Amino acid sequence: MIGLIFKDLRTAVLQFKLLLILLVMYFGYSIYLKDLAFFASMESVLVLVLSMMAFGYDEKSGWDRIACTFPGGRDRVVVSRYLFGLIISTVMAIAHVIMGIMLRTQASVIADSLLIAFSLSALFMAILFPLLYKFGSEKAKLIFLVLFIGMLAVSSGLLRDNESYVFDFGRVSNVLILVGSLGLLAVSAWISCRIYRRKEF
Amino acid sequence: MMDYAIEIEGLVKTYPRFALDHIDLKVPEGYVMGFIGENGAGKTTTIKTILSLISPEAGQVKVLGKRPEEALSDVGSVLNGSCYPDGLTMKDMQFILSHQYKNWDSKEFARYLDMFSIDTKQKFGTLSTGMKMKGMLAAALSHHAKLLVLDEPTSGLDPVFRDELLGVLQNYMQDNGNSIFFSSHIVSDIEKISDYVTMIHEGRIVFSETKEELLDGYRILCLSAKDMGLANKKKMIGLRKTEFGAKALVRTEDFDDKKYTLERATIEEIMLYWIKKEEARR
Repeated sequence: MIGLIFKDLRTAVLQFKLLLILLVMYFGYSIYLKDLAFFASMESVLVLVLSMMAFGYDEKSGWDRIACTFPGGRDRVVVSRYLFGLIISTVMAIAHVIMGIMLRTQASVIADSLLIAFSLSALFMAILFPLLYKFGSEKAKLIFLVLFIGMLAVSSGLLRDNESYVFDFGRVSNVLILVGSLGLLAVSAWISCRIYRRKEF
Repeated sequence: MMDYAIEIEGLVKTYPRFALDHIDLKVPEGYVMGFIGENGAGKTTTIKTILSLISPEAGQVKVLGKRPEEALSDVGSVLNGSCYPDGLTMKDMQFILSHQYKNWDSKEFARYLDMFSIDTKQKFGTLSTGMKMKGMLAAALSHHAKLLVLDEPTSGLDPVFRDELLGVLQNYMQDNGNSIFFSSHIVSDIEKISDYVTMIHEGRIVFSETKEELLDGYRILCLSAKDMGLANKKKMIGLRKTEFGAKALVRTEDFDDKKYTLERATIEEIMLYWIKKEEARR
């Protein structure tokens, strides 16, 4: 699995210039706005963009046909892609913390917004990845775009644009949000594995 | 009892415009089988079932005595139309592949890359078609696979490259027990290295024989215009009219070489006459 994750990370690094430009842009604009929420919302988008690029890259090269001839079963290919997504989310989370410190944001606010950003990334991956495995990157992008607009409306409601970043989850604890999003991701991985096992190349 | 590297029985796979129709095929261990047929005949589809890339609707496929997905660690493959990602180098691929195969041999991989003059730091996308093919072949040969499954590995390569590649495959066969299943529509390549030749046409196996049986078993019957009516047309496989009469592929035992002019047939001629016969039948 290490090899497969390495492949995704290596190909992501190849897009390094594009990523760096995007990151600097978001970083700069967030500092200008003094708004951690803006950066938080962009984290999930960056995770999405990178994941879509990884899928598109594989489709272009016919990588799946090669990967499925590796011993050890097809599930490894799917799980490694989810782990890749989590690694990217973690990198974004680190950038989030750095941004929070630079903006001199309260630690509790950084933690809360980080949690939401990470949960959103996980939610996006949980929805997008099975679509990508089922329909391929072109169709999946279109389907997800429709869903994304809906999710954007919901997520903008969750992230209140005020100083304290209070979240509207009522009694639902932060821990449950994290567990819930990771649980969704696990269910999504299970669905993707089932789709991928039946897929013909 | 003979062991088989590949055993396919009654394989059926249907697509809207094409079907593999009850394919039976056996590749004995330690031999090279050439798999011939025109484009779209079913070569790649058959290979995909061997590599568990597609699931058959009916029939059984065994690779090295196991289900295809269970044998993958002992199978090296080169697939037509699939490549390593353009941005990766062979050094990257070495890292990736070394984590996929327990028997991965980095020294062997380096030896092949050196033999093929492939720069390990050069991005895959910048390599020529021939070099890409060699790179993938190097990978297929570097985990001590007992079976190589190659889908059109010489397609698009110049004769020098093709000859070099066939030499590498012949070296691979020096190890006892290694087997190769090699599809190509370049029949001369098949003729050079195969022990067995199987032909597929429109999803059905036309013949599967040793190369010697095939070359000894068929002749080209040359008929003058006046002999045309005398010969038994039912025993002819694909008749072609020529300027001076006609030519047909026939079974060697069906025609007496003292009475008729019989020429040795190449595998390419055998294939072409069979296709002609099948097309006439439709």
